[in-house]
Amino acid sequence: MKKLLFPAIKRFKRHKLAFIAFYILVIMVLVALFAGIVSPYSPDRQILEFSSKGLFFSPYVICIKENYGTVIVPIKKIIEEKESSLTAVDYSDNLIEFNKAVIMTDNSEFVSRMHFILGTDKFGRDILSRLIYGTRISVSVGIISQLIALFIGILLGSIAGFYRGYPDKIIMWVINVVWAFPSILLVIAISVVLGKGYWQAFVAIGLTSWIDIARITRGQIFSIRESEYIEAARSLGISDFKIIYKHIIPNSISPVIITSTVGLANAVIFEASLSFLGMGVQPPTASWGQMVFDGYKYLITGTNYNMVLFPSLAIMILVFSINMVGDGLRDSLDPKINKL
Amino acid sequence: MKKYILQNLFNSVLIVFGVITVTYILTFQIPGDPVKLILGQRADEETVINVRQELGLNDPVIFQYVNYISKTLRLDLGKSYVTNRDVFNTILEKFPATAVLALCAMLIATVLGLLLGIISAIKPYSIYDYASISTALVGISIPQFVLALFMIFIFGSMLDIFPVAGYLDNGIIFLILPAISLSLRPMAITARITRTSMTEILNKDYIRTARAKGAGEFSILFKHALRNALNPIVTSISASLASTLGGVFFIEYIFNWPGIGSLAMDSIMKLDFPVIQGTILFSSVLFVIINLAVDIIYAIIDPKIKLG
Repeated sequence: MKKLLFPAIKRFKRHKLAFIAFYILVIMVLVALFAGIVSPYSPDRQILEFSSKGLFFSPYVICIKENYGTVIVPIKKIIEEKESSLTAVDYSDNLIEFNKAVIMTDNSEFVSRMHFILGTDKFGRDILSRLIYGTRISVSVGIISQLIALFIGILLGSIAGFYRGYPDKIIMWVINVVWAFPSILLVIAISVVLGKGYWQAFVAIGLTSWIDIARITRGQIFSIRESEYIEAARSLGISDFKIIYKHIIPNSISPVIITSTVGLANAVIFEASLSFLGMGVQPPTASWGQMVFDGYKYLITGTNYNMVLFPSLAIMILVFSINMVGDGLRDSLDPKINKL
Repeated sequence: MKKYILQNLFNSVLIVFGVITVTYILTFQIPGDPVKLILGQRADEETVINVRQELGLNDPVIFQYVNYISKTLRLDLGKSYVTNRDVFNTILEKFPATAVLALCAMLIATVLGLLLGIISAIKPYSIYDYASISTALVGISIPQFVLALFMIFIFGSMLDIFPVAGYLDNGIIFLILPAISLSLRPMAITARITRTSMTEILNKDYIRTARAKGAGEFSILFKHALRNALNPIVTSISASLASTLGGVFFIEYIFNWPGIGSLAMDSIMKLDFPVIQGTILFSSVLFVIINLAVDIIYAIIDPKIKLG
């Protein structure tokens, strides 16, 4: 395995774009894991006064201590500041007087600013924070559904490849049946049946995307079993286990890995599509597809493009990076290219 | 030859049988009560009992299943809960719109995809190659609904060149945006496969032989290389065609194109089960039939396949 791995990493590093894409993926996974630390605000906090704002929106707010927590009061401007109180204009143009004793302060300032770098959505939620939390959904759905797909695919594919005959015929029949369904419609249909939600999305996507992996695994095992070097190894009296471990796995695993990166990219697209239809993760949990849907009406009127643009870009960057890494892997894991 | 076609036909019938079974399981043999799913959780007792009776859910499972298959084979897909119209007729009515869109998009995809792929293969690792690989990767990476929204935003809202939603009755211009949006993904896939396949062929000995005997570059590319590289390309294009003909869900939905895709999306939104089931069945069976046709055409054109 080591002999396979190190040259592959070396070759992968030569593929510049794939290497950059790999780092983007690492960053995205880290962002997904540490969303709570990275995101500037809570993804669910609605401040209706700040509804549908553009880029770099930084309003003034006053934070007030209450028994049940802090309340954020958005203000337009400050009229006057006395020793113990503060008078300001709020978003309905009313004058409000604040007692300084209840105002939360980090420093000496009584008025703080919030920074919505990517603007806000129609409920006044921070788009950047929602994007960051949305990474969790996309990355986790992608990975878990692919693990399901890999498990089913490799299992069925290798049974078909090893035993041939009737097991192969039956498994090929199942593969062809699932293949005949338009995959996105099958995903939607399964999630309609299972109900809307997070786990349902995993299962629906996993259950539809194993067929490519099964096909590839089966094909690989089929052709490798017949190849001359396996026959040579057999005639030298090498054990079956060693043949599988030393020859069949190194030679068959790379196409499976490459296929599963394609599957991973598709899974992210499926999840976004499901959420776009309102069938994936349910609100208020942030997911990219749903953010696109929320902003979609504004796009047609030509305003607030930021609501659609950033989640769309996030989906594209993630899918593009996965595909790019897949391409890099294809080049670096293919033993044939080694000789060139 | 006859044996090969019969074998394929038999396999396709088996697959269609499987497709009907899966659709049946998805609709009637699901965890929970399908009637509750159809009527919503708050339906009153009497309606539930009536619908149960109507769907034959009180019969034994085997009986229900055989009944479902025989109904489906008679093209009786039931009636829509929303419009109360026959599902099969509704689907047939919507099919031409989808077919026009799919064929146009596949035409664009095939021509551009081949072109990009060939350019990449001739000059690997050049600026053209990187440009066409990146175009192809972007094409594969964009979800359909995002692409459609971008198209509407750029050409409909910002530049105001093309109408954003509507159908052919109002002029061919309505076809442009959806067709381009739809063509991007198959174009990207075609370009990638063409590049891989052509690169492989261009490294073959007989291409070197052709060069050595002084054949022109053009004839090497199109007569020697492309014709031999064509097999996987045709397979992928026909698979794309087969799946687009079964309905283009997001693009039809967003551009308001009155095809099978819109029908499926609408019925999903309204939980109109007979229509959901009907469109799934129709798309899948069409996919099987087109693939069967392609296999048979292959067998006629390519003499090597008959042996396999």
